[in-house]
Amino acid sequence: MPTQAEISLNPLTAKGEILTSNGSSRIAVSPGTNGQFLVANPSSSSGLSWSTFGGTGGVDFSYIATASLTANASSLTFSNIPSTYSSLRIVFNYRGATTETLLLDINSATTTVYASVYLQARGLGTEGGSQANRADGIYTTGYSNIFANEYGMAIFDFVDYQSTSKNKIVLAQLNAAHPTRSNSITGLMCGVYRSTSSITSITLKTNGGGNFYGTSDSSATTVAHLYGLKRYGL
Amino acid sequence: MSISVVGDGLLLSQKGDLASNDGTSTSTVNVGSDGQVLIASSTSPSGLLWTTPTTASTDGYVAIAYASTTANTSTIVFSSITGSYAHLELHVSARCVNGFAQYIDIRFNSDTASNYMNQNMYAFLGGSTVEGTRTYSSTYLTAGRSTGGSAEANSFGAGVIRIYQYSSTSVYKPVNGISGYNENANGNIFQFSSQWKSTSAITSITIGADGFSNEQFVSGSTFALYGLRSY
Repeated sequence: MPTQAEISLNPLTAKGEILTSNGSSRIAVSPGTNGQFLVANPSSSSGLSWSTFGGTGGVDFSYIATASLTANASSLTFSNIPSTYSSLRIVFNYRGATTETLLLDINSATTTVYASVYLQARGLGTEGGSQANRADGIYTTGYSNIFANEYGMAIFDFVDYQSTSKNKIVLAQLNAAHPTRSNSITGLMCGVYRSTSSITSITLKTNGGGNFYGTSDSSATTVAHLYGLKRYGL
Repeated sequence: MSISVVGDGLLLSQKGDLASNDGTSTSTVNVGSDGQVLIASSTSPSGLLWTTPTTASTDGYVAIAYASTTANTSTIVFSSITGSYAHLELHVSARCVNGFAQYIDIRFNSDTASNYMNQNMYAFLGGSTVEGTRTYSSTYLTAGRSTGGSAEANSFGAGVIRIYQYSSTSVYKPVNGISGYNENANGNIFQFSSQWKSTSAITSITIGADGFSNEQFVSGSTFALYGLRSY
């Protein structure tokens, strides 16, 4: 039962205030703005705070940026990637000026911090493969198409990319489909950037130094879109 | 009967009652329904309103639950999953206590019977072949790979797992995903396509390792659950 001192205390004076305790006495929590919700927050004096759904804007899957080429070039870069998400996803659509495989450069690292393991079906056969101790990027096995209107595609997922205590894993699904050409593949890849640094930049580049096709091709071009996913409570 | 009395004699007599102010005097806000959240609402008499949280986000992806281990942990459980979405997606970053690598396994609705079918394919770092395994009557669903305590420091496995039509009461539940680990000296890429042979709506997901043995996830392993809305 409350004490007499508590009974005489009524700190509620404004609409929407809530009565709670700071551990030693009863206090009022001021109302939030319309649409905000109340969450437990041990670091606040009341143990409660008002929050916005799904972080800023209430969106849990957000478009972050586009990188595209208007002229032939050997790479595209996403830089200044914010650390406000839990996972990143890149959707990449590419065409090579020459036949090229793809590399994934993270944070512009140039030491042997990259490795990959992959499996793929290429034409009628299947194979597994790997490349370790690379200093120029994660080898992703995806081939670029070189013929007009033919584009390769890839989806890259980075879980916990913002962690500062984990090496970074990249999962990829890659396709370059054409039934009559030997570089037609569908494959999967697990790569690692062996660093606990948060990922702040990602460069998609060709393995052999050739160019992606950047000139307008039937109104299309080599293009990558970057998305961020926020976990619950972020 | 136990009651709490605040300054002006307001009685908080029901479980979950809150004391508030309507702009003139102290008032009582009754508790909402299970799963609802309390939001600020200047148009309601009390300035407060209980509402279902899914209506607050207009996103196709909705972050609905998250767990991060702070100590060695055998199982992660997401319970009371509502049927508000079309599909579920689970993002995992995990490391186990033992071995170089472990499997990440899942059970639905605490079902420990032989109701899980598994088909997967994989390749190892340093290998040149694609391999596959299958089990038709497993007591759990194999959904990915993690590293273990013998792996390189700071090395974790990752996975993106999709659970389709999870709220259906007429179909078995298809689950697929891509996962892997890579520590330069050892690595694995793993894809699976599996099924939980039950028409029950999925309301809970239990995540374990190494066939729900005594294996544990280390501190810092993360599990983020998303709901995918339909139009």
